[in-house]
Amino acid sequence: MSTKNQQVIIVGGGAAGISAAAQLAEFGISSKIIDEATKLGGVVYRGPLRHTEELPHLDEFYQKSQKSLQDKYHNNKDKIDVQLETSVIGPDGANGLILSDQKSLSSLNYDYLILSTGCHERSVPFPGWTLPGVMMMGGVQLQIKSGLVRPGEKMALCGTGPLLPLIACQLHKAGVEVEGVYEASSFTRLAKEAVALLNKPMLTLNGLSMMSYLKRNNVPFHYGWGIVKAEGKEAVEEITVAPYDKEWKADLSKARTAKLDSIGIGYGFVARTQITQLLNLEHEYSYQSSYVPRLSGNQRSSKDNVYVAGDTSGILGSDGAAFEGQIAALDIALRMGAIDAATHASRTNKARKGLQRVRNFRFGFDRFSERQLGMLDLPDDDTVICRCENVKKSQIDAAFERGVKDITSLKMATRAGLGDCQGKICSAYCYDRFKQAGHAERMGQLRARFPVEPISFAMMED
Amino acid sequence: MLNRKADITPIGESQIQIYIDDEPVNVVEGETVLSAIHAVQKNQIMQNDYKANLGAYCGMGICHSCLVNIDGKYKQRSCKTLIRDGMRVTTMSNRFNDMGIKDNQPLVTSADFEEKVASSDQPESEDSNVN
Repeated sequence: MSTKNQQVIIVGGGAAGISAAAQLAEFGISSKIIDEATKLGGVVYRGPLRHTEELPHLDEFYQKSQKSLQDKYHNNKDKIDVQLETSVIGPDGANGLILSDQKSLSSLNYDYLILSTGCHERSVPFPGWTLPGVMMMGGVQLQIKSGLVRPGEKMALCGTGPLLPLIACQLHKAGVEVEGVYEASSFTRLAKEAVALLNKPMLTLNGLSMMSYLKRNNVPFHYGWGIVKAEGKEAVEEITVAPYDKEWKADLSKARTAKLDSIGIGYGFVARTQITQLLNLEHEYSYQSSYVPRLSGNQRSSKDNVYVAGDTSGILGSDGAAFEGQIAALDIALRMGAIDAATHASRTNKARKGLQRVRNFRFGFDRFSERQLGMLDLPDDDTVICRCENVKKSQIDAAFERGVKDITSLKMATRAGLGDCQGKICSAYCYDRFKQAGHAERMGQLRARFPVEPISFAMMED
Repeated sequence: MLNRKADITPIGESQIQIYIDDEPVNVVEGETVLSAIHAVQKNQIMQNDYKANLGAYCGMGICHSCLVNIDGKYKQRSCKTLIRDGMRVTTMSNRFNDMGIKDNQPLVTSADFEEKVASSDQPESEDSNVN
Protein backbone atom coordinates (compact mmCIF):
# COMPACT_ATOMS: atom_id res chain seq x y z
CA MET A 1 0.00 0.00 0.00
CA SER A 2 1.27 3.44 -0.85
CA THR A 3 1.90 5.58 2.17
CA LYS A 4 2.10 8.82 0.20
CA ASN A 5 -1.44 9.93 0.79
CA GLN A 6 -1.84 8.54 4.25
CA GLN A 7 -3.57 10.96 6.56
CA VAL A 8 -2.16 11.61 10.03
CA ILE A 9 -4.57 13.44 12.30
CA ILE A 10 -3.57 14.94 15.63
CA VAL A 11 -6.29 15.93 18.11
CA GLY A 12 -5.04 18.65 20.45
CA GLY A 13 -2.45 21.27 19.55
CA GLY A 14 -0.62 21.51 22.84
CA ALA A 15 2.92 20.47 23.66
CA ALA A 16 2.37 16.82 22.64
CA GLY A 17 0.44 17.57 19.44
CA ILE A 18 2.78 20.24 18.13
CA SER A 19 5.86 18.17 18.95
CA ALA A 20 4.39 15.18 17.11
CA ALA A 21 3.53 17.27 14.05
CA ALA A 22 6.98 18.88 14.00
CA GLN A 23 8.67 15.49 14.30
CA LEU A 24 6.60 14.11 11.42
CA ALA A 25 7.37 17.18 9.35
CA GLU A 26 11.11 16.63 9.81
CA PHE A 27 10.69 13.35 7.90
CA GLY A 28 8.53 14.93 5.24
CA ILE A 29 5.21 13.67 6.59
CA SER A 30 2.26 16.04 6.57
CA SER A 31 -0.25 16.04 9.38
CA LYS A 32 -3.32 17.89 10.47
CA ILE A 33 -3.90 19.28 13.96
CA ILE A 34 -7.45 19.78 15.23
CA ASP A 35 -7.79 22.11 18.21
CA GLU A 36 -10.80 23.57 19.98
CA ALA A 37 -9.14 26.89 20.82
CA THR A 38 -8.45 29.96 18.69
CA LYS A 39 -4.69 29.52 19.07
CA LEU A 40 -2.29 26.60 19.18
CA GLY A 41 -0.27 25.86 22.30
CA GLY A 42 -2.76 24.10 24.55
CA VAL A 43 -3.86 25.53 27.85
CA VAL A 44 -0.24 25.87 29.00
CA TYR A 45 1.27 27.67 26.01
CA ARG A 46 -1.67 29.28 24.23
CA GLY A 47 -0.66 32.71 25.44
CA PRO A 48 -2.77 35.87 25.36
CA LEU A 49 -5.86 35.78 23.16
CA ARG A 50 -5.93 39.52 22.62
CA HIS A 51 -3.26 41.99 21.64
CA THR A 52 -1.03 43.28 24.43
CA GLU A 53 2.21 45.28 24.43
CA GLU A 54 3.62 43.50 27.45
CA LEU A 55 3.16 40.54 29.75
CA PRO A 56 4.26 41.87 33.13
CA HIS A 57 2.97 38.85 35.04
CA LEU A 58 4.58 36.06 33.01
CA ASP A 59 8.21 35.26 33.64
CA GLU A 60 10.95 34.96 31.05
CA PHE A 61 11.21 31.20 31.53
CA TYR A 62 7.58 30.74 30.53
CA GLN A 63 7.82 33.16 27.63
CA LYS A 64 10.87 31.30 26.31
CA SER A 65 9.18 27.89 26.53
CA GLN A 66 6.11 29.28 24.83
CA LYS A 67 8.17 30.73 22.01
CA SER A 68 10.09 27.52 21.49
CA LEU A 69 6.84 25.56 21.12
CA GLN A 70 5.39 28.16 18.73
CA ASP A 71 8.66 28.01 16.75
CA LYS A 72 8.33 24.25 16.43
CA TYR A 73 5.11 24.89 14.59
CA HIS A 74 6.25 27.90 12.57
CA ASN A 75 9.41 26.19 11.34
CA ASN A 76 7.34 23.31 9.95
CA LYS A 77 4.26 25.21 8.91
CA ASP A 78 4.17 23.94 5.33
CA LYS A 79 3.75 20.37 6.57
CA ILE A 80 1.25 21.10 9.33
CA ASP A 81 -2.34 21.82 8.49
CA VAL A 82 -4.20 23.38 11.43
CA GLN A 83 -7.92 23.51 12.00
CA LEU A 84 -8.76 25.69 15.00
CA GLU A 85 -12.01 26.31 16.88
CA THR A 86 -13.00 22.77 16.10
CA SER A 87 -13.87 20.01 18.54
CA VAL A 88 -13.92 16.29 17.98
CA ILE A 89 -17.29 15.15 19.28
CA GLY A 90 -17.01 11.44 18.56
CA PRO A 91 -15.91 8.71 16.18
CA ASP A 92 -17.28 8.24 12.67
CA GLY A 93 -17.00 4.63 11.58
CA ALA A 94 -13.81 2.65 12.07
CA ASN A 95 -11.24 5.29 11.12
CA GLY A 96 -13.08 8.57 11.19
CA LEU A 97 -13.93 11.44 13.52
CA ILE A 98 -16.93 13.76 13.68
CA LEU A 99 -15.93 17.39 14.06
CA SER A 100 -17.95 20.36 15.26
CA ASP A 101 -17.06 24.01 14.72
CA GLN A 102 -20.19 25.21 16.57
CA LYS A 103 -21.82 26.01 13.25
CA SER A 104 -21.73 22.71 11.40
CA LEU A 105 -20.59 19.13 11.62
CA SER A 106 -18.11 17.41 9.36
CA SER A 107 -16.21 14.17 9.27
CA LEU A 108 -12.56 13.42 8.83
CA ASN A 109 -10.83 10.11 8.10
CA TYR A 110 -7.43 9.11 9.34
CA ASP A 111 -4.89 6.41 8.69
CA TYR A 112 -3.01 7.27 11.86
CA LEU A 113 -4.45 9.19 14.78
CA ILE A 114 -2.61 10.85 17.66
CA LEU A 115 -4.83 11.85 20.57
CA SER A 116 -3.21 14.53 22.68
CA THR A 117 -6.27 15.99 24.35
CA GLY A 118 -4.51 16.88 27.59
CA CYS A 119 -6.11 16.95 30.99
CA HIS A 120 -8.41 18.96 33.15
CA GLU A 121 -8.38 19.72 36.82
CA ARG A 122 -9.45 17.44 39.58
CA SER A 123 -12.40 18.80 41.52
CA VAL A 124 -12.41 18.52 45.27
CA PRO A 125 -15.83 19.29 46.75
CA PHE A 126 -16.01 21.19 50.05
CA PRO A 127 -18.79 23.31 51.55
CA GLY A 128 -19.17 26.39 49.36
CA TRP A 129 -17.11 25.11 46.42
CA THR A 130 -19.89 25.97 43.94
CA LEU A 131 -20.04 29.65 44.96
CA PRO A 132 -19.11 32.15 42.25
CA GLY A 133 -15.51 33.23 42.84
CA VAL A 134 -14.33 29.72 43.68
CA MET A 135 -12.35 28.63 40.63
CA MET A 136 -9.99 25.87 39.76
CA MET A 137 -6.40 27.08 39.79
CA GLY A 138 -5.80 26.40 36.11
CA GLY A 139 -8.95 28.35 35.32
CA VAL A 140 -7.54 31.25 37.32
CA GLN A 141 -4.30 30.95 35.41
CA LEU A 142 -6.06 30.89 32.05
CA GLN A 143 -7.86 34.10 32.97
CA ILE A 144 -4.61 35.90 33.71
CA LYS A 145 -2.51 34.26 30.96
CA SER A 146 -4.92 34.09 28.04
CA GLY A 147 -7.68 36.47 29.15
CA LEU A 148 -5.35 39.10 30.65
CA VAL A 149 -7.91 39.85 33.35
CA ARG A 150 -7.84 39.37 37.10
CA PRO A 151 -10.62 37.03 38.19
CA GLY A 152 -10.52 38.60 41.66
CA GLU A 153 -8.80 41.44 43.49
CA LYS A 154 -8.02 39.58 46.71
CA MET A 155 -7.38 35.88 46.36
CA ALA A 156 -5.94 32.81 48.03
CA LEU A 157 -4.69 29.60 46.48
CA CYS A 158 -5.32 26.19 48.03
CA GLY A 159 -3.94 23.03 46.51
CA THR A 160 -0.77 21.11 46.01
CA GLY A 161 2.21 20.91 43.70
CA PRO A 162 4.47 23.20 41.69
CA LEU A 163 1.65 25.25 40.16
CA LEU A 164 0.88 26.86 43.52
CA PRO A 165 3.97 29.10 43.79
CA LEU A 166 3.94 29.73 40.03
CA ILE A 167 0.36 30.98 39.92
CA ALA A 168 0.80 32.88 43.17
CA CYS A 169 3.67 34.84 41.57
CA GLN A 170 1.70 35.44 38.39
CA LEU A 171 -1.32 36.69 40.35
CA HIS A 172 0.84 38.98 42.46
CA LYS A 173 2.56 40.43 39.40
CA ALA A 174 -0.85 40.88 37.78
CA GLY A 175 -1.87 43.13 40.65
CA VAL A 176 -3.92 40.71 42.72
CA GLU A 177 -3.56 40.86 46.47
CA VAL A 178 -2.60 37.29 47.37
CA GLU A 179 -3.88 36.56 50.88
CA GLY A 180 -1.99 33.31 51.18
CA VAL A 181 -0.95 30.09 49.52
CA TYR A 182 -1.96 26.83 51.19
CA GLU A 183 -0.03 23.70 50.19
CA ALA A 184 -1.67 20.54 51.53
CA SER A 185 1.54 18.56 51.92
CA SER A 186 4.06 19.22 54.63
CA PHE A 187 7.50 20.65 53.97
CA THR A 188 9.07 17.46 55.37
CA ARG A 189 7.52 15.53 52.49
CA LEU A 190 9.03 17.96 49.99
CA ALA A 191 12.46 17.79 51.61
CA LYS A 192 12.45 14.02 51.09
CA GLU A 193 12.29 14.54 47.35
CA ALA A 194 15.38 16.76 47.10
CA VAL A 195 17.27 14.15 45.06
CA ALA A 196 14.45 13.72 42.54
CA LEU A 197 14.17 17.48 42.11
CA LEU A 198 17.82 17.63 41.05
CA ASN A 199 16.92 15.81 37.84
CA LYS A 200 15.74 19.15 36.55
CA PRO A 201 18.04 21.66 38.25
CA MET A 202 16.76 24.59 36.19
CA LEU A 203 13.15 23.92 37.13
CA THR A 204 14.12 23.48 40.76
CA LEU A 205 16.04 26.75 40.75
CA ASN A 206 13.11 28.41 39.09
CA GLY A 207 10.85 27.07 41.82
CA LEU A 208 13.20 28.38 44.50
CA SER A 209 13.25 31.81 42.93
CA MET A 210 9.46 31.84 42.91
CA MET A 211 9.43 30.98 46.61
CA SER A 212 11.82 33.83 47.32
CA TYR A 213 9.72 36.23 45.21
CA LEU A 214 6.70 35.36 47.38
CA LYS A 215 8.74 35.85 50.53
CA ARG A 216 10.07 39.22 49.39
CA ASN A 217 6.55 40.35 48.63
CA ASN A 218 5.09 39.12 51.92
CA VAL A 219 2.86 36.47 50.37
CA PRO A 220 2.58 33.79 53.05
CA PHE A 221 3.14 30.21 51.87
CA HIS A 222 1.73 27.63 54.28
CA TYR A 223 2.90 24.02 53.99
CA GLY A 224 0.52 21.45 55.43
CA TRP A 225 -2.54 23.68 55.20
CA GLY A 226 -5.66 23.39 53.07
CA ILE A 227 -9.19 24.48 52.35
CA VAL A 228 -12.04 23.71 54.76
CA LYS A 229 -14.94 25.75 53.36
CA ALA A 230 -15.96 28.84 51.44
CA GLU A 231 -18.83 31.09 52.46
CA GLY A 232 -20.67 34.09 51.09
CA LYS A 233 -24.16 35.29 50.32
CA GLU A 234 -24.11 35.33 46.54
CA ALA A 235 -20.43 34.78 45.88
CA VAL A 236 -17.43 33.83 47.97
CA GLU A 237 -16.62 36.36 50.71
CA GLU A 238 -14.67 34.29 53.19
CA ILE A 239 -12.77 31.03 53.33
CA THR A 240 -11.80 28.80 56.21
CA VAL A 241 -8.44 27.06 56.07
CA ALA A 242 -6.84 24.66 58.52
CA PRO A 243 -3.71 22.58 59.00
CA TYR A 244 -3.87 19.21 57.24
CA ASP A 245 -2.41 16.10 58.82
CA LYS A 246 -0.56 13.52 56.75
CA GLU A 247 -3.86 11.98 55.58
CA TRP A 248 -4.98 15.50 54.59
CA LYS A 249 -7.61 15.60 57.30
CA ALA A 250 -8.22 19.17 58.41
CA ASP A 251 -7.56 20.02 62.06
CA LEU A 252 -10.57 22.23 62.70
CA SER A 253 -9.36 23.25 66.14
CA LYS A 254 -6.68 25.35 64.44
CA ALA A 255 -8.84 26.64 61.58
CA ARG A 256 -8.85 30.30 60.67
CA THR A 257 -10.69 32.47 58.20
CA ALA A 258 -9.75 35.00 55.54
CA LYS A 259 -11.87 37.57 53.71
CA LEU A 260 -11.44 37.63 49.94
CA ASP A 261 -13.38 37.79 46.69
CA SER A 262 -11.97 34.80 44.80
CA ILE A 263 -10.00 31.65 45.41
CA GLY A 264 -8.09 29.19 43.22
CA ILE A 265 -8.29 25.49 44.07
CA GLY A 266 -5.85 22.99 42.58
CA TYR A 267 -5.44 19.48 43.95
CA GLY A 268 -4.24 17.81 40.77
CA PHE A 269 -5.38 16.81 37.31
CA VAL A 270 -7.19 14.03 35.53
CA ALA A 271 -6.59 12.80 31.99
CA ARG A 272 -9.10 14.04 29.44
CA THR A 273 -10.27 10.73 28.01
CA GLN A 274 -13.67 11.44 26.46
CA ILE A 275 -12.44 10.80 22.90
CA THR A 276 -10.23 7.85 23.83
CA GLN A 277 -13.30 6.29 25.49
CA LEU A 278 -15.61 6.86 22.55
CA LEU A 279 -13.01 5.22 20.30
CA ASN A 280 -13.34 2.18 22.56
CA LEU A 281 -9.67 2.12 23.51
CA GLU A 282 -8.85 -0.02 26.52
CA HIS A 283 -8.40 2.00 29.70
CA GLU A 284 -6.99 1.30 33.13
CA TYR A 285 -7.50 2.95 36.50
CA SER A 286 -4.80 5.31 37.68
CA TYR A 287 -5.03 6.82 41.16
CA GLN A 288 -3.22 9.91 39.96
CA SER A 289 -4.95 10.56 36.63
CA SER A 290 -8.34 8.75 37.01
CA TYR A 291 -8.64 6.46 33.98
CA VAL A 292 -5.98 6.41 31.27
CA PRO A 293 -5.76 4.55 27.95
CA ARG A 294 -3.69 1.37 28.15
CA LEU A 295 -0.58 1.84 26.01
CA SER A 296 2.02 -0.47 24.61
CA GLY A 297 5.48 0.79 23.61
CA ASN A 298 5.78 3.97 21.56
CA GLN A 299 2.50 5.46 22.82
CA ARG A 300 0.41 3.00 20.80
CA SER A 301 -3.07 2.34 22.23
CA SER A 302 -5.08 -0.90 22.12
CA LYS A 303 -6.07 0.16 18.59
CA ASP A 304 -3.16 -0.32 16.27
CA ASN A 305 -3.32 2.99 14.38
CA VAL A 306 -4.32 5.17 17.34
CA TYR A 307 -1.65 6.78 19.53
CA VAL A 308 -2.08 8.67 22.78
CA ALA A 309 0.46 11.25 23.90
CA GLY A 310 0.74 13.86 26.62
CA ASP A 311 -1.36 14.19 29.75
CA THR A 312 -4.17 12.12 28.18
CA SER A 313 -1.98 9.09 28.84
CA GLY A 314 -1.20 10.09 32.45
CA ILE A 315 -0.29 13.44 33.93
CA LEU A 316 3.33 14.34 33.26
CA GLY A 317 3.17 18.00 32.25
CA SER A 318 4.15 19.71 29.04
CA ASP A 319 7.84 18.70 28.98
CA GLY A 320 6.91 15.03 29.14
CA ALA A 321 4.10 15.55 26.65
CA ALA A 322 6.54 16.88 24.07
CA PHE A 323 8.69 13.73 24.29
CA GLU A 324 5.66 11.47 24.11
CA GLY A 325 4.38 13.26 21.02
CA GLN A 326 7.79 12.81 19.45
CA ILE A 327 7.87 9.08 20.26
CA ALA A 328 4.43 8.55 18.70
CA ALA A 329 5.48 10.46 15.59
CA LEU A 330 8.69 8.41 15.23
CA ASP A 331 6.68 5.18 15.35
CA ILE A 332 4.31 6.44 12.65
CA ALA A 333 7.25 7.58 10.52
CA LEU A 334 8.75 4.09 10.75
CA ARG A 335 5.49 2.42 9.80
CA MET A 336 5.05 4.78 6.87
CA GLY A 337 8.52 3.93 5.66
CA ALA A 338 9.83 7.48 6.06
CA ILE A 339 12.69 6.38 8.32
CA ASP A 340 14.63 3.16 8.73
CA ALA A 341 14.70 1.01 11.85
CA ALA A 342 18.10 2.26 12.98
CA THR A 343 17.09 5.92 12.81
CA HIS A 344 13.88 5.08 14.59
CA ALA A 345 15.71 3.26 17.37
CA SER A 346 18.30 5.93 17.99
CA ARG A 347 15.84 8.84 17.88
CA THR A 348 13.31 7.02 20.06
CA ASN A 349 15.97 6.15 22.62
CA LYS A 350 17.01 9.76 22.81
CA ALA A 351 13.42 10.88 23.37
CA ARG A 352 12.91 8.15 25.96
CA LYS A 353 15.96 9.35 27.91
CA GLY A 354 14.52 12.86 27.94
CA LEU A 355 11.18 11.47 29.03
CA GLN A 356 12.82 9.52 31.83
CA ARG A 357 14.49 12.65 33.18
CA VAL A 358 11.14 14.42 33.23
CA ARG A 359 9.60 11.41 34.98
CA ASN A 360 12.31 11.24 37.66
CA PHE A 361 11.75 14.90 38.43
CA ARG A 362 8.03 14.74 38.14
CA PHE A 363 7.63 11.62 40.24
CA GLY A 364 9.45 13.38 43.08
CA PHE A 365 6.82 16.09 42.98
CA ASP A 366 4.05 13.55 42.51
CA ARG A 367 5.11 11.69 45.65
CA PHE A 368 5.25 15.00 47.50
CA SER A 369 1.79 16.07 46.36
CA GLU A 370 0.07 12.70 46.23
CA ARG A 371 -3.54 13.29 47.11
CA GLN A 372 -4.70 11.89 50.44
CA LEU A 373 -8.25 10.78 51.00
CA GLY A 374 -8.77 12.79 54.20
CA MET A 375 -10.21 15.51 51.98
CA LEU A 376 -13.25 13.32 51.36
CA ASP A 377 -14.38 14.41 54.84
CA LEU A 378 -14.65 18.05 53.79
CA PRO A 379 -18.15 18.13 52.24
CA ASP A 380 -21.11 18.06 54.62
CA ASP A 381 -24.46 16.38 53.91
CA ASP A 382 -25.83 19.31 51.91
CA THR A 383 -22.71 19.95 49.86
CA VAL A 384 -23.48 19.52 46.17
CA ILE A 385 -21.20 16.92 44.61
CA CYS A 386 -22.55 16.91 41.04
CA ARG A 387 -23.12 20.55 40.19
CA CYS A 388 -24.94 19.87 36.94
CA GLU A 389 -27.60 17.64 38.49
CA ASN A 390 -27.56 19.10 42.02
CA VAL A 391 -26.71 15.77 43.64
CA LYS A 392 -25.78 16.23 47.29
CA LYS A 393 -23.33 14.29 49.39
CA SER A 394 -26.16 12.80 51.45
CA GLN A 395 -27.55 11.23 48.24
CA ILE A 396 -24.15 9.75 47.37
CA ASP A 397 -23.89 8.42 50.95
CA ALA A 398 -27.36 6.87 50.70
CA ALA A 399 -26.41 5.09 47.47
CA PHE A 400 -23.25 3.72 49.11
CA GLU A 401 -25.33 2.53 52.08
CA ARG A 402 -27.65 0.71 49.68
CA GLY A 403 -24.62 -1.19 48.42
CA VAL A 404 -23.69 0.61 45.20
CA LYS A 405 -20.19 -0.53 44.21
CA ASP A 406 -19.73 0.84 40.70
CA ILE A 407 -19.97 4.23 39.06
CA THR A 408 -22.68 3.32 36.56
CA SER A 409 -25.01 2.20 39.35
CA LEU A 410 -24.16 5.36 41.28
CA LYS A 411 -25.10 7.42 38.24
CA MET A 412 -28.41 5.59 37.89
CA ALA A 413 -29.16 5.86 41.60
CA THR A 414 -28.37 9.55 42.01
CA ARG A 415 -28.06 11.18 38.53
CA ALA A 416 -24.47 12.19 39.43
CA GLY A 417 -22.59 12.48 36.15
CA LEU A 418 -25.66 12.78 33.94
CA GLY A 419 -25.50 16.52 33.34
CA ASP A 420 -23.96 18.81 30.76
CA CYS A 421 -20.36 18.19 31.85
CA GLN A 422 -20.83 14.42 31.52
CA GLY A 423 -19.34 13.80 34.94
CA LYS A 424 -15.97 15.43 34.29
CA ILE A 425 -16.34 17.43 37.50
CA CYS A 426 -17.94 14.98 39.98
CA SER A 427 -16.33 11.71 38.86
CA ALA A 428 -12.99 12.38 40.58
CA TYR A 429 -14.73 12.60 43.95
CA CYS A 430 -16.89 9.54 43.20
CA TYR A 431 -13.88 7.42 42.17
CA ASP A 432 -12.14 8.38 45.42
CA ARG A 433 -15.22 7.37 47.41
CA PHE A 434 -15.19 3.95 45.72
CA LYS A 435 -11.46 3.68 46.33
CA GLN A 436 -11.95 4.53 50.01
CA ALA A 437 -14.70 1.90 50.27
CA GLY A 438 -12.40 -0.70 48.69
CA HIS A 439 -14.18 -0.91 45.32
CA ALA A 440 -11.48 0.55 43.07
CA GLU A 441 -11.17 -2.74 41.19
CA ARG A 442 -14.82 -3.00 40.28
CA MET A 443 -16.09 0.60 40.14
CA GLY A 444 -15.54 0.92 36.40
CA GLN A 445 -15.27 4.08 34.36
CA LEU A 446 -17.93 6.75 33.98
CA ARG A 447 -18.57 6.52 30.24
CA ALA A 448 -18.29 9.53 27.98
CA ARG A 449 -21.35 10.10 25.81
CA PHE A 450 -21.71 11.19 22.22
CA PRO A 451 -21.58 14.08 21.46
CA VAL A 452 -18.70 15.00 23.74
CA GLU A 453 -19.48 18.69 23.16
CA PRO A 454 -23.05 20.02 23.03
CA ILE A 455 -24.33 20.60 19.50
CA SER A 456 -27.48 22.37 18.37
CA PHE A 457 -30.27 20.71 16.43
CA ALA A 458 -29.66 23.15 13.59
CA MET A 459 -26.17 21.68 13.11
CA MET A 460 -27.58 18.24 12.43
CA GLU A 461 -29.83 19.31 9.58
CA ASP A 462 -27.46 18.53 6.74
CA MET B 1 -21.10 51.81 29.99
CA LEU B 2 -19.57 49.25 32.32
CA ASN B 3 -16.01 50.07 33.33
CA ARG B 4 -13.25 47.57 32.78
CA LYS B 5 -11.45 47.43 36.10
CA ALA B 6 -9.72 44.06 36.06
CA ASP B 7 -7.47 44.31 32.99
CA ILE B 8 -3.87 43.32 33.63
CA THR B 9 -2.62 45.31 30.63
CA PRO B 10 -4.48 48.09 28.78
CA ILE B 11 -6.80 46.88 26.03
CA GLY B 12 -5.78 49.83 23.86
CA GLU B 13 -8.14 51.53 21.47
CA SER B 14 -11.41 49.64 21.51
CA GLN B 15 -13.39 49.74 18.28
CA ILE B 16 -16.08 47.32 19.29
CA GLN B 17 -18.64 46.88 22.02
CA ILE B 18 -20.70 44.09 23.40
CA TYR B 19 -23.59 44.32 25.83
CA ILE B 20 -23.47 42.52 29.13
CA ASP B 21 -26.90 42.52 30.76
CA ASP B 22 -27.91 45.43 28.47
CA GLU B 23 -24.93 47.59 29.42
CA PRO B 24 -22.27 48.34 26.82
CA VAL B 25 -18.68 47.19 27.44
CA ASN B 26 -15.65 48.03 25.32
CA VAL B 27 -13.90 44.93 24.08
CA VAL B 28 -11.11 44.03 21.67
CA GLU B 29 -10.71 41.29 19.12
CA GLY B 30 -9.67 37.89 20.42
CA GLU B 31 -11.27 38.17 23.84
CA THR B 32 -13.61 35.58 25.21
CA VAL B 33 -16.99 36.55 26.59
CA LEU B 34 -15.79 35.29 29.99
CA SER B 35 -12.77 37.59 30.09
CA ALA B 36 -15.04 40.53 29.21
CA ILE B 37 -17.36 39.53 32.08
CA HIS B 38 -14.40 39.27 34.46
CA ALA B 39 -12.98 42.56 33.17
CA VAL B 40 -16.07 44.36 34.49
CA GLN B 41 -15.72 42.41 37.74
CA LYS B 42 -18.82 40.29 37.52
CA ASN B 43 -18.47 36.77 38.82
CA GLN B 44 -22.07 35.60 39.17
CA ILE B 45 -22.55 34.28 35.69
CA MET B 46 -25.07 31.49 35.55
CA GLN B 47 -28.14 30.19 37.32
CA ASN B 48 -28.46 26.48 36.82
CA ASP B 49 -31.67 24.44 36.54
CA TYR B 50 -31.69 24.04 40.33
CA LYS B 51 -31.50 27.80 40.88
CA ALA B 52 -27.93 27.67 42.14
CA ASN B 53 -25.78 30.65 41.25
CA LEU B 54 -22.54 29.64 39.61
CA GLY B 55 -19.49 31.43 38.30
CA ALA B 56 -16.61 30.45 36.06
CA TYR B 57 -14.97 27.37 37.55
CA CYS B 58 -12.69 25.52 35.12
CA GLY B 59 -12.33 28.35 32.60
CA MET B 60 -11.66 25.89 29.77
CA GLY B 61 -14.98 24.53 28.56
CA ILE B 62 -15.18 21.49 30.82
CA CYS B 63 -17.52 22.35 33.67
CA HIS B 64 -20.46 24.15 32.00
CA SER B 65 -20.68 26.54 34.95
CA CYS B 66 -20.34 29.79 32.98
CA LEU B 67 -23.27 29.31 30.60
CA VAL B 68 -24.81 32.57 29.42
CA ASN B 69 -27.44 33.62 26.93
CA ILE B 70 -25.85 35.07 23.81
CA ASP B 71 -28.08 36.83 21.27
CA GLY B 72 -31.06 34.83 22.48
CA LYS B 73 -29.31 31.45 22.53
CA TYR B 74 -29.24 29.82 25.92
CA LYS B 75 -26.45 27.72 27.42
CA GLN B 76 -23.46 29.18 25.60
CA ARG B 77 -20.14 28.65 27.34
CA SER B 78 -18.78 32.15 27.93
CA CYS B 79 -15.23 30.81 28.33
CA LYS B 80 -15.26 29.24 24.86
CA THR B 81 -17.09 31.96 22.95
CA LEU B 82 -15.20 34.83 21.39
CA ILE B 83 -16.74 38.30 21.46
CA ARG B 84 -18.34 39.72 18.30
CA ASP B 85 -19.28 43.34 17.76
CA GLY B 86 -22.74 44.07 19.10
CA MET B 87 -23.12 40.75 20.87
CA ARG B 88 -25.74 40.72 23.62
CA VAL B 89 -24.76 38.65 26.62
CA THR B 90 -27.19 37.93 29.44
CA THR B 91 -25.85 36.41 32.63
CA MET B 92 -27.93 34.44 35.16
CA SER B 93 -30.36 33.61 32.41
CA ASN B 94 -31.92 30.17 32.52
CA ARG B 95 -34.48 28.93 30.04
CA PHE B 96 -36.59 27.22 32.73
CA ASN B 97 -36.74 30.29 34.94
CA ASP B 98 -37.19 32.74 32.07
CA MET B 99 -40.16 30.80 30.76
CA GLY B 100 -41.83 30.80 34.16
CA ILE B 101 -41.81 27.06 34.61
CA LYS B 102 -42.67 26.26 38.19
CA ASP B 103 -40.65 24.00 40.44
CA ASN B 104 -41.43 20.29 40.36
CA GLN B 105 -43.66 20.59 37.34
CA PRO B 106 -42.80 18.55 34.27
CA LEU B 107 -41.44 20.72 31.51
CA VAL B 108 -43.26 18.99 28.71
CA THR B 109 -45.83 16.22 29.00
CA SER B 110 -46.02 13.55 26.34
CA ALA B 111 -49.38 14.98 25.24
CA ASP B 112 -47.78 18.41 24.76
CA PHE B 113 -45.06 16.82 22.76
CA GLU B 114 -47.35 14.88 20.44
CA GLU B 115 -49.46 17.97 19.90
CA LYS B 116 -46.37 19.99 19.08
CA VAL B 117 -45.07 17.43 16.63
CA ALA B 118 -48.46 17.13 14.93
CA SER B 119 -48.96 20.88 14.57
CA SER B 120 -45.43 21.78 13.56
CA ASP B 121 -43.80 21.51 10.20
CA GLN B 122 -41.03 23.86 11.29
CA PRO B 123 -37.58 22.51 12.06
CA GLU B 124 -36.46 22.61 15.68
CA SER B 125 -35.42 26.01 16.89
CA GLU B 126 -31.73 26.76 16.60
CA ASP B 127 -31.02 27.33 20.23
CA SER B 128 -31.89 23.88 21.50
CA ASN B 129 -28.84 22.07 22.71
CA VAL B 130 -28.61 18.36 22.93
CA ASN B 131 -26.07 16.65 25.05
